Amino acid sequence: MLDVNMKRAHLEQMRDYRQTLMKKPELRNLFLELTLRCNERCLHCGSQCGDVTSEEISVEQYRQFLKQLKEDMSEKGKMLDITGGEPLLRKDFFDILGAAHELGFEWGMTSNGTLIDDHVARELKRTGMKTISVSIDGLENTHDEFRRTPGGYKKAMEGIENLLRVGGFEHIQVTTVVTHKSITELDELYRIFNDIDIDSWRVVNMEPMGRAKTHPELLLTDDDYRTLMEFIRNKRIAGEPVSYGCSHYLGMEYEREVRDWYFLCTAGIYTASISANGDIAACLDIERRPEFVQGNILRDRFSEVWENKFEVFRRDLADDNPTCAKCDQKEFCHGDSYHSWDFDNNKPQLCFKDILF
Amino acid sequence: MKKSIFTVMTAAMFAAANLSAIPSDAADNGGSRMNVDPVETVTLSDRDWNREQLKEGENDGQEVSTTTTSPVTTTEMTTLTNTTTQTLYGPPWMLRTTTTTTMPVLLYGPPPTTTTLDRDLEENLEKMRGDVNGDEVIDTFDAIALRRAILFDEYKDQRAKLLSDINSDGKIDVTDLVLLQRFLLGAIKDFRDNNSTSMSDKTTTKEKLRTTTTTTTTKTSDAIFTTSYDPRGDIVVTLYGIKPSIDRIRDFTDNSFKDILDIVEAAETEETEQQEDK
Repeated sequence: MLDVNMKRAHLEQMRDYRQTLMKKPELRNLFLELTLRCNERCLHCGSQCGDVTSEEISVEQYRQFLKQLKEDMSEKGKMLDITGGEPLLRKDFFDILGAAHELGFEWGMTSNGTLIDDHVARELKRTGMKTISVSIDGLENTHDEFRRTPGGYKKAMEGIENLLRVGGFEHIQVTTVVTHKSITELDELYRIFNDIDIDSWRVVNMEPMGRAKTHPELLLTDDDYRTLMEFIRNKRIAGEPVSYGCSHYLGMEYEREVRDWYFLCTAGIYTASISANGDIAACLDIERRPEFVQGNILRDRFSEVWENKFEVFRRDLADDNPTCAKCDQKEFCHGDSYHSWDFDNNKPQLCFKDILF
Repeated sequence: MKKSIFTVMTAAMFAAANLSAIPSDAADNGGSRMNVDPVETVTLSDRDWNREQLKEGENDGQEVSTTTTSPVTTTEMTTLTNTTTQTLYGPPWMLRTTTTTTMPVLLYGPPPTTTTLDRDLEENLEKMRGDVNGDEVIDTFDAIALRRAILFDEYKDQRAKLLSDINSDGKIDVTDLVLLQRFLLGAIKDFRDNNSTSMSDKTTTKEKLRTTTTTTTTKTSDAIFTTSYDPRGDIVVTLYGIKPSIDRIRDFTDNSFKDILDIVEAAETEETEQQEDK
């Protein structure tokens, strides 16, 4: 383990910085959920894709919104994070992102990779895509079963190969959502990914949210979580570009060791999102409740909403729960990731205390 | 998967804490038996090899000059090396490595050449050993440079390559990095003599400055990770790799980040150029 005193000091700095950010937030990531349509039916989907209607806004509406955003807040230092559903299902995908590119925005996307043939890869390059994260959730059978898409694994791997062949992207990442069933496949997956020229492998646990709530048997056990963290740390010690995701406070044992930064839930302080229907919120992973919708880009000016609303995200959730309020890690965890909070019962749905630390 | 300057820096950070990775095959077997990092060896060229041989028998005060001849037969040299290895958890243990070096056979090689060695380098080799990046200071940046050198076989120049052979065993590998890290941690005071203080004397103003501005630890080798830390520069990656990128961080950070940012930018530029060349 790295030096605990060093980590504690850094976490204290991060705690103080977070307080500053809550008073003076700074937009770095803007998620655009282009659609809720998807060609897969993943067991862990947080957006309930396929079960809900996808209201979508037009190319021209996106163009106007981005123009306004550029005028008010500048495009510099901001990343548009394109997501869905499967965003490539939109026929006007390249019109929207072409407009963003013309306005000078940098953008990246997440995709299941199944629609990325050679032509699409070249179009992604032409319209300025910088980074992409493609989902591979296990070995072939596991992946296809988990995403309920026969042939999905092969298509996704072909998609990655097409991206690598076309080249010119800043970062090609594979993301794996690990379940209790797939955790035994990590070593084999590593061998597969290590043989291809991707830039990084992001390994995260299945979160108890969305459709995943109906599959508790797939959630990781306490031992699984420890195995996952040890796996990632070990790869990083060896200099491999493997990382955990942005979620969850991991305690002194694993903070800064399984990812390149200290825990900071960026929802509402670095991160905002535009839902498929134009609603303005913080992070798309957060439960879709009416009180979390801060406005809509079709009727509100985003910069004003960002400046004057979002209070609900700029506070410590730990204050709402007596156990959390007394926890000795509260100042670093502050209630953990916003998306994993149970707002009905005011408690975290996933807390690593007594599991990892 | 690609190595990047970020992964190298991460590995260097772990190396500074004396943490070694468990190879996958050991992990498959339950991970209970600890192994060392896979040792990646950089074999010295004939010229370097000759220089190293010459160093072994250097004559005090004499002009260092020799005539070398390309070997015409195969020569096998077997050396036994004792290496202290730190396990992920638990005490360090000794590993005995047998290295067999085969000199190349050059039946029709170049004619014998006369080489005059850099007298200054020869005289100061021991004092300068470890200064991998050539800035005349031995610090964490040398560890980063050495890690990179081992991974990519990249050296600033021949001088840097010679000075990277920290343990003077004729090859550049992880054992050199471990030795350098131990020196930076203060575990040893000299690369050859553990009781000597001569190398610590070489810790100059730049290093002292880092140490004095450290607020959280007194370990010199941690200075880069402590004094340089600024939460504004933490790149919280949600899904999309390393963006928002370096320009954003540079806006926020003071000069304490400059060295790292320069390294990262240089690596990114190099990578871009390589991609364009392809």
